[in-house]
Amino acid sequence: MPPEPGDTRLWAYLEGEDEALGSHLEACPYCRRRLERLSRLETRMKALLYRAACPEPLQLGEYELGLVEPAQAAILARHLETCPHCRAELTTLRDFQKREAVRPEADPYPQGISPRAIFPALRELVARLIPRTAAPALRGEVREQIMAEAEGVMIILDVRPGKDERLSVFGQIAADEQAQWAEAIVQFRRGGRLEAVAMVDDLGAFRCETLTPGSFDLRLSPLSGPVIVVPNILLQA
Amino acid sequence: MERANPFEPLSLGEIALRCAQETQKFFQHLAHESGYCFELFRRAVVNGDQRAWDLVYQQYHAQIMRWVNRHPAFAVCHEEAQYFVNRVFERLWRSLTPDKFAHFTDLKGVLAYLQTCVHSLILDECVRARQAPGADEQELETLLERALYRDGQTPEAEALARSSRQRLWQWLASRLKDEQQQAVMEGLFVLGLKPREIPQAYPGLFTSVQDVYRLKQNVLERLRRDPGLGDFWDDV
Repeated sequence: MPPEPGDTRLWAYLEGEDEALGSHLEACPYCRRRLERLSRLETRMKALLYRAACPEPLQLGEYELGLVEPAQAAILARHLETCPHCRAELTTLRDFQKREAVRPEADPYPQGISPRAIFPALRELVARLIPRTAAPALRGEVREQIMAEAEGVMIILDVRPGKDERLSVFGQIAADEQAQWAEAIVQFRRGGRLEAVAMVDDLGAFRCETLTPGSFDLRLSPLSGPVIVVPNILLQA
Repeated sequence: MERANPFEPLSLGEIALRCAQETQKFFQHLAHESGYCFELFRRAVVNGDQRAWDLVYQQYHAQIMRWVNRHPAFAVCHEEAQYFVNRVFERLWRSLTPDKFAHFTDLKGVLAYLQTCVHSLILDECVRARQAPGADEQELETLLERALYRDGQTPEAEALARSSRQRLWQWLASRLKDEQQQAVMEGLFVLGLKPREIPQAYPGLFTSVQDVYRLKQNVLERLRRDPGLGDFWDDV
C-alpha cells in the first residue's frame, strides 16, 4: 500500500483533479472515510456560507439606478468585481430593462381594450364587524369566519393556517352591485404599514397568503365608489 | 429656486384620469404627457396618500403583470403571476421612500424602479431560494449564538449584518489571519468557485491551484481548533 495521501490531495481528488489517487482509495477504507468526511465538511461549509456576502437583488437594482449612498455604492462595486453571481444578476436586470422598456408596441392591455377610467372615491366608509359565527368545515371541525358590513356590502374572511407560520386569508365580497367590486384593491395594513395587497376577482373573491397573525386594518378600494375600511381585525389561525 | 409643480393644483381624481388617458395616448402612438402619472406616483410616495397608492395599483397592475410574465426567471417560479404582482406593490411601498423618489425626475425613472422590484422579487423567491444549498437555519442560529457570545460581539455590530448567513461569514472572516485565507474561504464557500478559478478571481494572491488546496486545508484545520466553533465539527 502506498503512503497515506495528505488532505490536500484528497481535496484535489474531490475536485476531479488527482485521479491517480483513485486506485489507493479503492483499496483503502480508512482514506475513503477521510474523503467522505472532507466531502461532508465541504457541503456543510457551502450550505452555511454560500452567497453570504451578496447584497440583496433589490439593493443591486438600486445601485444600478444610482439610489445608493456613495459609501455603500463603493462596497457594492468592489463586491461586483469578485462575485460572478451578482454580476450575472445585474446583467439579467439590465437586459430585462432594455427589452421591457415601456414602448407603444408593448401595450399591457389586450388589443382594443382601453385603460380603465379610474375615478377616486369621494368618501370612505368604515365597516362594522359582525359578531363571529362558526362556519361548518371539513371533518366536523368548526372554523370562525370574520364578517363585516358597510352600507349593504358584506365582507367575509376565512382565515386558515398557511405556510411558514403565515396565514391564508380567503375573502369574499357580497354586494348588490357585485360587478363594481371586480378588480378592487385589497390592502391589509398594520399600524399604517402595508403588509399585503391583493385584487378582487370577477366573483368578488380574493386571497392573501403572506400575513402573520395580528391586528390589521383592511382597506377595500373599488375602481369607483367609496372605499371600505374595516379597522382592527384580529387575524389568527 | 425650486420649480413650482404645475400639477399641484389638480385634484387626485383629475390626476388619475389624465394619467389613464395619457397612458392610452402613449400606447396609441399619440403625443402624450407623462407628468400626470409621475405626479400620481409622487402623491403616493412623497405625500403618503393612500388613495393615490390604490390608483397606482389600478393603473399599473397590468403593466406589472406583463413584466412578471416576461421576466426570464418567471418560468421557474411555481406561483401565479398575480401573486408576484401583489408582492411587487408591497415591495414598492416599503422600499421606495420619499428620499429615493427625489432622485427621479420623470416617469421613466419610476418605471425602471418598478421593473427593479419585479426583477428582485422573482430572484429572491425563485432563483436565490433554489440556489441556497439547504442550510439548516437552526444550526446557523446555534452556531452564531455561541460564536458571537464568546466574542462579546455587540448587538449593534450584529445588527449590521442582514442575515444569519452574513453574520456567520463576518465572524469567520474575522478569525482568518490574512488576505489569502480570506480569499480562499470567500472564493470556495461564499462565491462557490472551483479551486482552479480562485487564482484568476484573486490575482496576485496565488501562484497555482496547489496553493489554494494547501490554504483550504490550513484554514479548515485552524477553524477546527477554534474554541468558538466547539462541537460544530463533531458530526462531520
